[in-house]
Amino acid sequence: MNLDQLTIEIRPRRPWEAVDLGIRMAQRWWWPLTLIFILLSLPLWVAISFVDQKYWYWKLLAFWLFLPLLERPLLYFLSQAVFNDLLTVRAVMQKSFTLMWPQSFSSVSWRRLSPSRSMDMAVTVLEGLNGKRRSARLSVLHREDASPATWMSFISLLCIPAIALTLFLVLVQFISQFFDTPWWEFAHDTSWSFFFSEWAGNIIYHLLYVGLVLVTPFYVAAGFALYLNRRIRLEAWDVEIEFKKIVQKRQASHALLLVLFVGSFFALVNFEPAFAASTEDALAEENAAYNDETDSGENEFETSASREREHEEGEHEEIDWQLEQDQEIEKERVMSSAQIQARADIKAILDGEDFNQYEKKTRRRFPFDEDKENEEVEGDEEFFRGLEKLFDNIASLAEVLLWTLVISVIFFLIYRYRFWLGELLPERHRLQRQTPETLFGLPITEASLPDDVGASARRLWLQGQQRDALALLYRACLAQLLQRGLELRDGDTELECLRASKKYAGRLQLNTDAQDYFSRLTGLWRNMAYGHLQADENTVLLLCDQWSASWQVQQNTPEDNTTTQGGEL
Amino acid sequence: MTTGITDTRVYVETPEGADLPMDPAGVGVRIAAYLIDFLIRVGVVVLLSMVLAYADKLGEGLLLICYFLIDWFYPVYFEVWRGGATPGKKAMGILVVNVDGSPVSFSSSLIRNLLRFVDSFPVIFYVPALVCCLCNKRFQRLGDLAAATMVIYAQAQQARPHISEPGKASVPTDFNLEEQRALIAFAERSENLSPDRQKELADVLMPVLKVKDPIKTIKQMANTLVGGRE
Repeated sequence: MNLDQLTIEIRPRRPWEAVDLGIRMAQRWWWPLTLIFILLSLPLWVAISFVDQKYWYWKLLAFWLFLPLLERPLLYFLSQAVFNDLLTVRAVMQKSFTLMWPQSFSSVSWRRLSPSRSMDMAVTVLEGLNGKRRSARLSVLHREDASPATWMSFISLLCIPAIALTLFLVLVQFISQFFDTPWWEFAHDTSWSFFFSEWAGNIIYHLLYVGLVLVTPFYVAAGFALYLNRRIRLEAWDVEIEFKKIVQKRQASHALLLVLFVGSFFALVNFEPAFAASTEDALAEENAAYNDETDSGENEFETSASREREHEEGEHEEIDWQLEQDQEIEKERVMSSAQIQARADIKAILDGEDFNQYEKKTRRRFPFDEDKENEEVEGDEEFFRGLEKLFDNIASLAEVLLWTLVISVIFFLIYRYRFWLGELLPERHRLQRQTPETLFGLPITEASLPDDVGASARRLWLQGQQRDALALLYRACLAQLLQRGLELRDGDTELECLRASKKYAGRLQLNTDAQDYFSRLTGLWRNMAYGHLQADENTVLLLCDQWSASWQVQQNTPEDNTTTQGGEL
Repeated sequence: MTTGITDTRVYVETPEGADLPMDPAGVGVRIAAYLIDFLIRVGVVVLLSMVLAYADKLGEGLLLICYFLIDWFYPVYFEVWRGGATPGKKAMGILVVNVDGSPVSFSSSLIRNLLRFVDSFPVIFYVPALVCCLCNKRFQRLGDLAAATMVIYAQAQQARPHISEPGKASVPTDFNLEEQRALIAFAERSENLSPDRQKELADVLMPVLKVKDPIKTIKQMANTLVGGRE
């Protein structure tokens, strides 16, 4: 078995992939396989055709029994072809009897029904095993990947009548053209009995043979490929091939290195004396060295091949370079005389009359000439001019729209961030936000508050309206803050208000008293309003009393002064 | 075609310039898958007809509608929404993809399945499909050609290489990827090889390795490559 000669790609495959490979193999050698099969089976088919047609099933059965024997030469052909030994049809035919004879009886009798027949055939025919050894071998082969063999037996059994019937129907279609009736009506008239009428039956019967001839090479090749794949897996053929490649590559590269070394040595020695002689000498030496080294044939082809390989290798740059230099010199030597001649020729031609004709043309041009020319062209292309104008208009319109868009975007941005931009302006120019009239549902306008906040709150608290009392205090505080210029929005929460008041304490002229007061009140108010936690009475009353003191301190704010003063009075 | 190496594998070049190997599924496995699907469909239709028989005329109508849907959209549904494989294909380990290896879209699946009508001309035997499959290198039937799809073998998840030999040995640095893979393949598959065959294979490498026990050394080298146990 010579794995170097294989004509199929060797790798462990999935079982069904092996079947596909078999199909490809059958396609590749389709013609010899078919020819062999026809030569073997046609005589038998013709022979049984002489028997009365009413026993057609017996005839088919007899033919079917002998099929395994008829397939054997195909298998043999394939087994040789896979190892690149393409036998002639004649050679296979001559050997066919010796192939068919061994174990022929068991093949056509009890083994005939074996569904994995296509795969097992190789063991019988190629390995020549029989009896116990055969069954032991088969049990190893069948351990894995044998199910497609069964499937393929079933599928080929389906394919044969399928092909026969398809061919028959196509045939009927062609025939029905002559009768001017569509084929389905043609068939429908007699329905199923049509297929069993004498002439139709006969045609189908013979088309079955055609189907068989078409299917058998594929069936045999698929089975053989399954067998092959199993052996590839069992014996690791692919590993062997790869290992051999590894060794070959290493050995080849060692030999090559030596050749190149010796060759370049001689080339260098002979380099100086004369260019003309040196290269040829070096080549000769190199050849000799190569031949000594490899003991190979000493013909021209070998050496040139070796030189080519050297170039492909490219691993030994220095030596390669040396070789290239040799070649350059040789080229120069060969070319120089021819080249000089050629150069002279080229120069002579370039200097010749053909390339040296000068002509002077004079023509007057006026501005109106140019206009006229242009107009002519445009006149021809009225339509395109119009189109161009239209595009121009569209473009200018688009330009206007785009600029409008840009300007609107800028305006929008300015408007959107007007307050933010306002921060950049000096204080008195700033835009005033509208002060909200209510916060968290509490009215906080000046008017809604009583004159003396602290006293009113105290009164309310003592009357038992604790919630109202705290609300009043809180509202009053917020009103104070707003008055002093704190910017609060409708949606702010209590904590946001507190945070804002602390943040801008300086600007709002809040002293620590007021800040402290506000934060204490906020805490109480939140607990009361949302947590429904009763505040401590003393704390609240203290706040009521402190109200004026805490918020009144800002004497320097005139408005503030008046209101709080008024409150106290 | 008398020269060259016969193989079924095709390569799809990715945009990155890498060759993606794909194994097109041939006629055998596809017929098997089709037969399984056919049986499933017949089973469903028979079951439906028994159930719908109670609904008289309405049942008849419904049955026809169901039959139509099953006949035409059974493969489409599974190919688009169930990973490219009908139950039959799944059982055989194959699936439908575009020729560039990407999953099939609804439109291409619909095209390839509507063209079953042409592939099965003139009756249900699919002989034109059979012929067409053999005429191109991807085993495409007419519907596949029209929709630019192909049927390939599903890639099984590769298990981590298992190498029984303990210990490690250094691998010569000039071993390229293919050669390293061969070492691993030897070590992995040696359990299924007879001792004689193992020796035969390992002796092939002797000129390169030059060690006393090449079998052990190769296995240890493989162990180094896969990062196995000490």
